[in-house]
Amino acid sequence: MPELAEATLLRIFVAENDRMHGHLLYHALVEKARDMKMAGATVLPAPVGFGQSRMVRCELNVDAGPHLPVVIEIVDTEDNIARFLLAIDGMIDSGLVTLEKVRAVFYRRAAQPSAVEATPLP
Amino acid sequence: MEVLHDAVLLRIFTSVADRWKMGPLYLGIVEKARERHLAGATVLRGPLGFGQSGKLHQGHLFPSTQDLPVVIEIVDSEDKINSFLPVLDEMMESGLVTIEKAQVLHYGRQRASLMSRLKQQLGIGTKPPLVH
Repeated sequence: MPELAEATLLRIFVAENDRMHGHLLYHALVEKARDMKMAGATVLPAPVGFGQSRMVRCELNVDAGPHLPVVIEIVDTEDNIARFLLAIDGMIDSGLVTLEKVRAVFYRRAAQPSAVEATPLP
Repeated sequence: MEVLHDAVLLRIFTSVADRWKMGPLYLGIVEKARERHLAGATVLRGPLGFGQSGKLHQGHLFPSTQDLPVVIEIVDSEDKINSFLPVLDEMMESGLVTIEKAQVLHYGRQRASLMSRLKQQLGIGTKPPLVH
């Protein structure tokens, strides 16, 4: 049985085309997480959803505009998540942020120290 | 699977490119879950993400070289999930596995009685029983 550690799951619900300084918000959040050396981040697109505006956004509803929902998930220690939340304060104009306690196993492949430097940001 | 009120949500974060034996890891995990009669499994694909390596996983011009994030979600009883963890441990090389408590309200065609408990709690939809 692998060892499970206490961790926190952060989920950020925003619109796919939300922007910050001309960059896609979800992309900016992932890059911020990467800069802060968070354990990881995953973006999950959603085909349908609605938020505060009550407007149902879906691929087929052209009237609602291109505002499909997207969820960014980050799992890390409680402290790291707190640091990240402070760092992104002000980045999210409209959206939802939730926190959950989870138990986690981080599987880490043998160190590849050059991997980070070798991949320039797009 | 019986409808359980108290279940566990297992989530496995990996990459589309991760392999297990001859095929993709995410397919291997889904097949293993099916073999072991877990209640179900759902695979969610993400367009962007990064993990321990810090390398951004994102779409590529050539689909054969895709290295996108993928999340597998499995909900079952704590015992079943716990017995699946060592199996998963054998398969995982890199990635993240998380576990959280979940309450199941509906599975297949069955509805857990929690639904009626919730309705009672909110005082809605409590139809009087049919009198024959």
